[in-house]
Amino acid sequence: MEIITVEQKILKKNDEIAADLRKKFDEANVFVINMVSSPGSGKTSIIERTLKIISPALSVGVIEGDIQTSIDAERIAQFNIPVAQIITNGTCHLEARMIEQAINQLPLKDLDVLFIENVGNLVCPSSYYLGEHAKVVIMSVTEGEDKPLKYPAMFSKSCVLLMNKTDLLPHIIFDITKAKKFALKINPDLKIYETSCYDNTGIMQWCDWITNELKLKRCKSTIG
Amino acid sequence: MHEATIAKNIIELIQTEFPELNCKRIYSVKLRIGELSGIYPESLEYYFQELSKNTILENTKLSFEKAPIKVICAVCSTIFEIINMDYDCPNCKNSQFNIIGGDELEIINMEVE
Ligand SMILES: Nc1nc2c(ncn2[C@@H]2O[C@H](COP(=O)(O)OP(=O)(O)OP(=O)(O)O)[C@@H](O)[C@H]2O)c(=O)[nH]1
Ligand SMILES: [Mg+2]
Ligand SMILES: [Zn+2]
Repeated sequence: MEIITVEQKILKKNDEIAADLRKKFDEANVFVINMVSSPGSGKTSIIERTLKIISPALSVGVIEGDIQTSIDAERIAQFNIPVAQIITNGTCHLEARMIEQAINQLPLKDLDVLFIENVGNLVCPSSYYLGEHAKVVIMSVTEGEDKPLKYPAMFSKSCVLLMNKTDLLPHIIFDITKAKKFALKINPDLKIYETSCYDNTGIMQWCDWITNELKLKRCKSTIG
Repeated sequence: MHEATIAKNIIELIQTEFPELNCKRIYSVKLRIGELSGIYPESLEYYFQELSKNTILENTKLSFEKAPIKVICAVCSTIFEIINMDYDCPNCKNSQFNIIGGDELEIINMEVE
């Protein structure tokens, strides 16, 4: 019997494709945001609200990941912006190779911002890097304060948390201070915005974050 | 939750990186699975046995080494291991930390005959 040392990441191939994607995104000068959340926390609604503010001043594209349907892609297509649909056929997360195919349908070089809406799931998408510049996690106030502690991998890898559906706060039992404390416990650098797609709370601040990051990124790429 | 994909990835990785093993029997593959990865060994083993049929990994056993959740205190930089998120820093009692380990999904080694 002989022991052969391997010491390799099981997702090595995914990480390699993602690194290539990242290079393509940087060459095209597009800022890529991977939107993750449980099913129904408001990923598509947030993208819709965001488009109303930043498009067409910024040129935005969207990749919609969905287990079964093209409903979300159809919602986004109404904004007359480039949309690519990925139907994963049951797979619970997006993988870099799926993004590699999807970007062939997008005018990458013309875009300023690209949103990737991941499959609604707080576990699996956290293992798959897609070449994005930022992971943004959405948690709605109906999900309970403890979600950051129950799904720490996802919350710790994200740089922004959108605490969505705050318009519902008067109707439910949810301690938002506690929820923020839990999120910051496992990710002290996390930026948190309270948002509502119903009354537009926080959407402007979130859009400012995007435009700021875009500026910083472009500033860096002209210096570097 | 995505054990089937992970099983497929293991088989593909070994096939492409170790083509010379084609004529040998791979007795076992040892994996390092982080406690935060969301991967259940029993479920991974099941999909691996199914998906490895008719490959060089048919009848290969999987063995597991669990990787603990490791964090670094945001205030004093003490590194410590935890089993859930309810812990505070054992050195300075601060409650905030950054996670630095526990989502590993790695192949450690293989036993070949
Ligand atoms: N009250 C309230 N409802 C919201 C808000 N944001 C989204 N919703 C509703 O929540 C439901 C789910 O929203 P989506 O935007 O489809 O959520 P999603 O995360 O894209 O869902 P999946 O893609 O299926 O995972 C819809 O009925 C939305 O109208 C909000 O801020 N307030
Ligand atoms: Mg959606
Ligand atoms: Zn400390």
